[in-house]
Amino acid sequence: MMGQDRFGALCDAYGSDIDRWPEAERQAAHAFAEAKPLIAQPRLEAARALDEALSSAVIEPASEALYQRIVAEGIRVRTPQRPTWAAAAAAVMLTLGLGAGWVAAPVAETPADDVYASAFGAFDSADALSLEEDV
Amino acid sequence: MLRVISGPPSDRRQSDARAGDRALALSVSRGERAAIAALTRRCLPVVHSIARRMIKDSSEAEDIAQETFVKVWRAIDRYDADRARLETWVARIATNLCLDRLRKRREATLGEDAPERADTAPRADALLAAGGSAARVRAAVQALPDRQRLALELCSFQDRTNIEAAEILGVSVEAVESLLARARRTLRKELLEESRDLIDGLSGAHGGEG
Repeated sequence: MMGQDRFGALCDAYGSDIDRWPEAERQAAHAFAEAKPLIAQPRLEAARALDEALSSAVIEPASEALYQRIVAEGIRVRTPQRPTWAAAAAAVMLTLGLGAGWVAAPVAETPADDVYASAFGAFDSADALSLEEDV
Repeated sequence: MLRVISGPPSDRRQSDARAGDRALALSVSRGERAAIAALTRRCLPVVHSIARRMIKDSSEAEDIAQETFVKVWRAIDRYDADRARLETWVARIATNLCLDRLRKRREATLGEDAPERADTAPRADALLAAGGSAARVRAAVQALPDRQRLALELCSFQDRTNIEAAEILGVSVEAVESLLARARRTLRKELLEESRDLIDGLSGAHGGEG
């Protein structure tokens, strides 16, 4: 069974609510309080007075603005990979594109010119035909 | 069909809780917005209370809270659910930041050889300056030595167990009990034995619970 000294020590440290004392000692503390009410109750009463005084000193809850700031920072810190990878991928693609364009440019010039020329050439031929028909 | 039960219910609950902590931490580390919001919603109350109790200035306390979470976001990959509950881990970070801030402030004020504030009663001038009853109680709590104030905040105001408080403070369970007893002894002396009127007024305000 719990002794008077231990009961007093727990009361001094944890206050008047035995159910908030360390779990391992609650049962013994309740048993002591029932068996020795003349010793236990004055100790609990004295502790209760302080508990009530302390209840007026509770901290106000955090603001919603603080919560929002912290969440925004969390998202910023934990998701830097996406923009970084996107930027890196864009840079790689740009480099590859520029390189490929530079290497392929002389080769591509001819077909492009051909297409350009043939397009206008065909138009010119049609014009020529129509001119011939008119004639 | 037989079901194998691997341990007592409390052990299973603890195991489930740690699995939940591990999953949440993993989701946060992957940058999942819902997980980041959930962790903040869950841990901000304890972080804010610790910071506010330890740092008198409210905007500085908010800075500490934000700084705590920046460390959390950066270190979440290293969180080990087998060693501590998520809230305990986060609260420990907040506690260390507060104690560090207070230590640096004292060093800046008194020089590097300044010892941690002695375990003395709240200053009478602080109590007088506080005016009303609730403000006087807050001033008396504020005047406690740092670790006593933290132990009181965790166990008396936040209902943390002595084991959780010990983990957050980085001390033994016996040390937590000693810190609490010393804090309450000081407060009892200052607020009750020397200010009987105060407790009468507060008892009336709280409905005079017997």
